[in-house]
Amino acid sequence: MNNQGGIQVKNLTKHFPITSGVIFSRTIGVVKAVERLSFSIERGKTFGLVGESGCGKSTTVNMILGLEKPTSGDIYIDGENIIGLKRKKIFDLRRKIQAVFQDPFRSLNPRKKVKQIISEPLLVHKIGTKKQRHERVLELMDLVGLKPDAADHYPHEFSGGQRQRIAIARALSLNPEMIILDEPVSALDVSIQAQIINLLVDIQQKLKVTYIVISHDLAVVEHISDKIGVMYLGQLVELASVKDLYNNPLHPYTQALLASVPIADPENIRESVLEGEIPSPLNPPSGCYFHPRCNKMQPECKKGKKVLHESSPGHFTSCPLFA
Amino acid sequence: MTENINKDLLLKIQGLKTHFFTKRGVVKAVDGIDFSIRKGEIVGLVGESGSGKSITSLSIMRLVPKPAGEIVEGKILLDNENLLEKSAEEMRQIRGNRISMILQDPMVSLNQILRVEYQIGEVFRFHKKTNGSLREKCINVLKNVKVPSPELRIRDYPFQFSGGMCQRVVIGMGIANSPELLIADEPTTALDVTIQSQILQLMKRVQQETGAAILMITHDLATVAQICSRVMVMYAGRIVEKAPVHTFYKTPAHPYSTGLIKSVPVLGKKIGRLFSIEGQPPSLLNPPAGCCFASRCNMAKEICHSEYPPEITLDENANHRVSCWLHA
Amino acid sequence: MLFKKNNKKQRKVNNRIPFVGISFVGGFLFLVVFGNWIAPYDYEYWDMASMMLPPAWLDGGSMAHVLGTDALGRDVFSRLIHGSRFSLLIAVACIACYGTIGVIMGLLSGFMGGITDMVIMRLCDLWMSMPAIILAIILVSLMGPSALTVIIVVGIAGWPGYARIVRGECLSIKQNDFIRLARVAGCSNFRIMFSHVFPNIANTLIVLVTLNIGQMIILTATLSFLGLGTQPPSPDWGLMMNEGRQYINSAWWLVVFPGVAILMAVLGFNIVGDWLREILDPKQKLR
Repeated sequence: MNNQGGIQVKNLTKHFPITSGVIFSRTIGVVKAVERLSFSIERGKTFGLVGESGCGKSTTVNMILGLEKPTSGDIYIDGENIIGLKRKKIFDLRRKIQAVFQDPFRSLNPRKKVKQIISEPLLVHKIGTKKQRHERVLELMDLVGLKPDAADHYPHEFSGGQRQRIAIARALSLNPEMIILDEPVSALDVSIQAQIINLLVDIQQKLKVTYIVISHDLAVVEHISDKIGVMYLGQLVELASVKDLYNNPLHPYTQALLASVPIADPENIRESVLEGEIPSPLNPPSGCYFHPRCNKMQPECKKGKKVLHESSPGHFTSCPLFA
Repeated sequence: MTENINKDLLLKIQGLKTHFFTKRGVVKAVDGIDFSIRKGEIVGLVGESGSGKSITSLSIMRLVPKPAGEIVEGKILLDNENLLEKSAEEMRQIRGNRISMILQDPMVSLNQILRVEYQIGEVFRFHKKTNGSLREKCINVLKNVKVPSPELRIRDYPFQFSGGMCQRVVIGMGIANSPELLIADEPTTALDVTIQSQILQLMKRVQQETGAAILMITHDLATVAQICSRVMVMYAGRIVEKAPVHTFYKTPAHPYSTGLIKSVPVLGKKIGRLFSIEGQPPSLLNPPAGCCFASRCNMAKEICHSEYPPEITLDENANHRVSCWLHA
Repeated sequence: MLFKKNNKKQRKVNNRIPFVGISFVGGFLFLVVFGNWIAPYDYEYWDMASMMLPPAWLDGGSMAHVLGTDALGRDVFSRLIHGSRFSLLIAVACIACYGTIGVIMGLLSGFMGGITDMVIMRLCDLWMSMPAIILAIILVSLMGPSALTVIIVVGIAGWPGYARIVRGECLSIKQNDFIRLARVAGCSNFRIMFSHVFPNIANTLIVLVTLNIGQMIILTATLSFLGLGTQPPSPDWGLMMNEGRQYINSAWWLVVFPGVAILMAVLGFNIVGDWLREILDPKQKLR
């Protein structure tokens, strides 16, 4: 891994203790929300993270955003480890990573005007004079395709797509190096989704910003990502370039995921390959976590810890069949 | 229409208008729609949020939120009986019995603090079909929708079920009284992709086994393609296109349908840039004159802005119809 | 259609401005501001020559004292008017006092969570389990009865209620993504609490305060009635009722008119509070 720009995540782990009792609480178990997650992405590229709900995507996002402290592991941004830094340093680093969340109706403060929403990060970081900030707001609004007269309105006067544009403008206000897109279009209407996806792609080309996209919509992730990681029960089971992953998925879970996505084509009726549901992360299966649902299960799948290994150049999987 | 078609006609909606009277004016949520559903078919009603698709389903159930909302015009004929002329009591007998409904979020559809058994039993209790043991019937409901070990799960509370299992329970309750029409409002939107296809398969099986017609309301073109036999596209309170599903995806006629299909990224076909329909859907408070889509349409003619297009038949069976001046 | 007509009627009722409530509250506030010019007499003015006069429309009443006079010959009408200012001032002072404590405690509790939350909430429980009246009696015996005592007693007795409501609101607002995004932008806890959470609970607070003014008027009146609050010759409504109590058989107007005044003011504030809750609800606004 080179340390030039972008982000490197190494062995990121988050365990949530399960406690019992109120005053004299003791730990009775542990949920391994994220386990030894490692990936890297270069500056200006997009990393996609896919998986079903409860697979640890959100916890990963929270850790990268600094909202949650990892149990162990490191996150390097521009070669600098952001884990375990002092408060002041973290405050400065926050400028580099911003986020856009799924629901544009809940990610904007309904009591603030659009210009206040977009300029707040600048205000908090004490950047520029009032006038300069106002100019920056107008510049950003132009960038995301909002009319300047929108600045004095409140969020509830806008549709979902427009609100998501406001959220993107805010995320861009500090000139971040990386933006985390957590389900950026899944709450939007079909005809608006394409607008926002195109906008995100344009912005990346213009500003060379790195994206991490979290989504359950595999088609959207495929469309905007360069590299994709597939998560299952807190672990990465496959990591590959977008081309390799979609053309030649190795892990049976990835294969099942790709095969069961409903497709907008009546000639191509999907059969659900995946039976059953995700096991509880409190008590995961032994060996490969996926083995109880896997249709290619071998005896060795039930034993030992399965870690990512490179099966072909740049294509990693944790499936023991490709060891 | 010939006698033959009339015989297997289940639901016929004529000129339905549902309006909302708000402080700021009249919102024409559903503004004159006609369609029909035959017995045992799965029809998709596709549209964006605010296009009026959910209000259409609520209108059929006569559950339009009062006092703001109101059905101002039209007929809803179920087996040639107009539902709009039924009394509240008669309507209660029809709901959950002849027509039932599945909602988007299974976690909200079920009461979290009552046992599943009790909630399923409610369906039978109200409609006074209590011959045979109630518990057995409830277990059967879960069996029908393939919930594993139903004898044990029936004593559980909804929060002990996963989202997919909850939706199965809701579907089970929906079909418990073998309704003639099942309205499914975004039944898979809140679920994970892998669970989505399981639920779609389940619904297809349910339709084949019970012979119920399903009106599938969704914004997701993939859902429609996977299980529906006919598609209706709704935009700004009106149905702009009706077509058999294969025709629709191959040769969509309305510019809005074309745009929708082109703007969805397709798995395995990575293209440079997505096609996008620019602009926003119009406000239903003051809808523009003429075709509502005209302002976003890149093929709009002069007449599109002044007059609403008539419904035009595109094939000899009158299955593919579109409301667009381009085909006039 | 059959159900058409009924619907329209219902719609109108729902959106109607509550004229009764507003006129009660408006009248009350009018008296508070312009009472000095309206009241025919000063509230301390007494005239032994015309004591215990009945209201003007009864035998023996005179237009000089529209609502009659009390045992000292003071004009009931004038005292009621002056009393409005007393009641409102005390109510507002009480609410300002415990509202501030309650909001700060509630925000801290709801927003910080963990140990802070637990300590504040247990403190609330402790406070709420102490009966306000007994607290009042203790404090009065320590400080002597006065308007200030009332404010302090009611003020410190009431904050847990506010704290609990603010905490609940705060917890639900905390779920919103804009709070997460504010953290991502680097906002301090202080900024998030007062710039993001507080404006979103302001509506609730306005409604709460309006509804509470009514309660406060009753509570202060109760304390005065028990002789624990304001002292004579203050024209407090509760005090007036207390003074009139002994003459209830011969001079009912001494008790009834202050009672009606309290009733109208409290009812007015409650109706207006309910109405505000409806129109300030953002969901209502979207309709």
